[in-house]
Amino acid sequence: MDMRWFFAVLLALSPIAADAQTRPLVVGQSFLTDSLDPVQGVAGWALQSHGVAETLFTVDRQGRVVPHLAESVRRDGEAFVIRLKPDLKFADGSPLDAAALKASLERATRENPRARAQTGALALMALDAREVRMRPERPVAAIESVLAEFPLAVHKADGTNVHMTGPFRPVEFRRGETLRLEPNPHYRDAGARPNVTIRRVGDAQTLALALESGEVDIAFNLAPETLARVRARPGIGVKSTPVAYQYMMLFNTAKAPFDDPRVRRAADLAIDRATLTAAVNGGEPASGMFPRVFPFAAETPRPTDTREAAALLDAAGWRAGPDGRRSKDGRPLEFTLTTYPQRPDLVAIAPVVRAELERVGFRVRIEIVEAITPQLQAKRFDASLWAMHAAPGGDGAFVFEQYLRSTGPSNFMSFADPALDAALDSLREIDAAPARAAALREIERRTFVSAPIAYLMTPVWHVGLSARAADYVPYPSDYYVVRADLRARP
Amino acid sequence: MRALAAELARATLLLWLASLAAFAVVRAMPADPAALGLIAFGQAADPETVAALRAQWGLDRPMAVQYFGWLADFLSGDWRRSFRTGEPIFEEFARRLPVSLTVGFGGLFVALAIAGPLATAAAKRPAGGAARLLDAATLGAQAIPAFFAGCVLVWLFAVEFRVVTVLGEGPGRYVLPILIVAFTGLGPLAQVYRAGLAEAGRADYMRTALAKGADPERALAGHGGRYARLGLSAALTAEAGWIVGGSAVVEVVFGLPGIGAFLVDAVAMRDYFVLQAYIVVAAAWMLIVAAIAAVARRALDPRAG
Repeated sequence: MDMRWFFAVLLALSPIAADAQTRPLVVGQSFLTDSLDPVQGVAGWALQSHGVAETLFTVDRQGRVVPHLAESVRRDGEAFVIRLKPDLKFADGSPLDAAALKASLERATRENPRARAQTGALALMALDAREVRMRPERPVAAIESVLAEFPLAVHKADGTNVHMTGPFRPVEFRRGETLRLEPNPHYRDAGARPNVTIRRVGDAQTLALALESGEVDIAFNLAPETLARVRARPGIGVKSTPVAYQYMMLFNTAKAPFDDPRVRRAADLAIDRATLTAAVNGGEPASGMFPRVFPFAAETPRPTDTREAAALLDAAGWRAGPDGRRSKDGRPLEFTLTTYPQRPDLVAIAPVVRAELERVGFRVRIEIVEAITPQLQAKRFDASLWAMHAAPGGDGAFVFEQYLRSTGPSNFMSFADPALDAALDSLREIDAAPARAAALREIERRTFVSAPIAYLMTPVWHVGLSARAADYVPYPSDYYVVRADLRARP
Repeated sequence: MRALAAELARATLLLWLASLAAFAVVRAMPADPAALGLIAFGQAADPETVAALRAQWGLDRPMAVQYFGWLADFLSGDWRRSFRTGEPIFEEFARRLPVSLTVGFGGLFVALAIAGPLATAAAKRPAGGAARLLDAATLGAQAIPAFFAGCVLVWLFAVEFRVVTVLGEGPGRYVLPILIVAFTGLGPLAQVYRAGLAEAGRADYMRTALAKGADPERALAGHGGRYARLGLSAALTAEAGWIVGGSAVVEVVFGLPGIGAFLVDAVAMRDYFVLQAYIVVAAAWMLIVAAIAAVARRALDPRAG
């Protein structure tokens, strides 16, 4: 008897082989939804990322806002008419028609104030089977971006169950631990998708270890310091992709020394962004507020010019001493650089930023705080590293409105530029994408001069993959981790 | 009976003060949870939305109304919903508490099981191998963070030897976390027990026992053990007090859905009702531990009040 047949039969009958063929694809990541109802808290975001919830519009790989469940949206005076794609269904098989969409939007805006953030209250009317007329309380320019936001995830509440439209539907949920999914049978190509289990793994080291031990197929995402070890393990691959997040340094413009725009410009010019990307094993030097994935991003990387930086500091009265350190009227040019551990990359680049700034005479103390946002809100910082999604809904105006308008709710920098505010006012009147992109670039150019923010780098995310998940292609955002194109190799 | 009533009244007063302190401390934290919750998820934190969220959570009412309203709800079993998750907090605690208690008590039990024999052996031969091992374990537990020890254990047993799983399910998933907690608790417990035995070894009653011809090892275990257990009960009280929420690092490393891991997120997002509930639960837990310790002390030393 041919022994190879013997072993093949033995292997096929063994529990290990059976497990390997039927076990779900396991995704390990640091976040897991806290609810299966998209109107609860920020569950809509997590459920969208898990492949369960969908929105009317979405952001594609190129950072463009494109129709998803909606076929189109058109302006109708102060209102908008949303037209649904044909033959859409919820995961329970019931149709997603205009009446269901109206009910979904009404419930979202009623139950979750986040859903009213951009539009205020919505007056809704189903026009026919596929069209809904929506009149926002407040004027909205980029309606497609608003309809791509997670609080408006489309759903149907049915007693205690909530049904959504994504390529997967939940079968078991253990809050804080796991979410087991099966392919939504009413979604196209359902048979091609594997069952999926999403495991919450809060620690980056543990995630890498779980990938190495074979318990996780998709590790989203790996810390840079684990990459060499993970790559050395047979059967495991790592795919790295630039993402829609941007790392930056926020200056407190209400406090010395960064109350002087020349000092901010000097700090911006002193940093060689290539040293930052080297520190975290990847990424791209920033060209501005937006990662290159977005069509309105600037093309040229931010310049480095230590000579110009020194000249600016001289002009601002900060003179270099014999040891190269600068001072003015007996006060040293020093500040605290704040960062936070939830973004390990930022902790890694903080000493590099310090070294770059000390080349031109700054003295920098690094501070790591557990809860960064409260500290920024309280304006208790000199300069802070910060990571953010540059255009969550695909529209670049959002971050400028939030962070750089003088009354912006996230204007931690206490920055005020009336001309920039006026430019943002004008932007609200512009609908056409090319014109908006040009206006956004002009606004961004203003911020290069006034420098309330030093744009540092676009990170890459490293997704660890087992052999079964080798075909997975990472998306440049954590808004879409489990997607319709997810497949498992045998 | 009167003493019991007085104790209950004292405990009630302490819990009320804890609830007041919880409310005051949590509200004194800088930053607004409504704005935080919006900014963290890239949403527009404009004043209208922030105000709507605050109104939904009842944060726009006068402080006294907020406090007494929350206290009344809390006492009736409605611990409100988490700002972050939107889910009922009582259910979240009920689900997570057993996980934290399993890890905490399991670790304490293992630590205790090792501490007794190890400390006894170390007390008998202060320069012997057991004493050196105990000193090394104490120093190691102080010097090596639980996070690092956890990662090394996982790498060794789950990745290299494959005898356990990193994210396993069932009772087996608690083995490594319990060992980590035991590792951190072993040093203090064993050192206190050893010190108690050593002190007892120098006591007059021990000299009397030895003069009467008692076996030194038996005398130490018998007379000294009772004295040393008194000290151990105090150390145990301190360790047990931290079980609720004290194993956050271990829970995060091993992906266990316990109270500690939940708190880490709650602090960052200023999840007021979660933090208030936790402080009151932790205070109640410490009172329970202190009551049990008092009973244990009375059993070990009838002279104790």
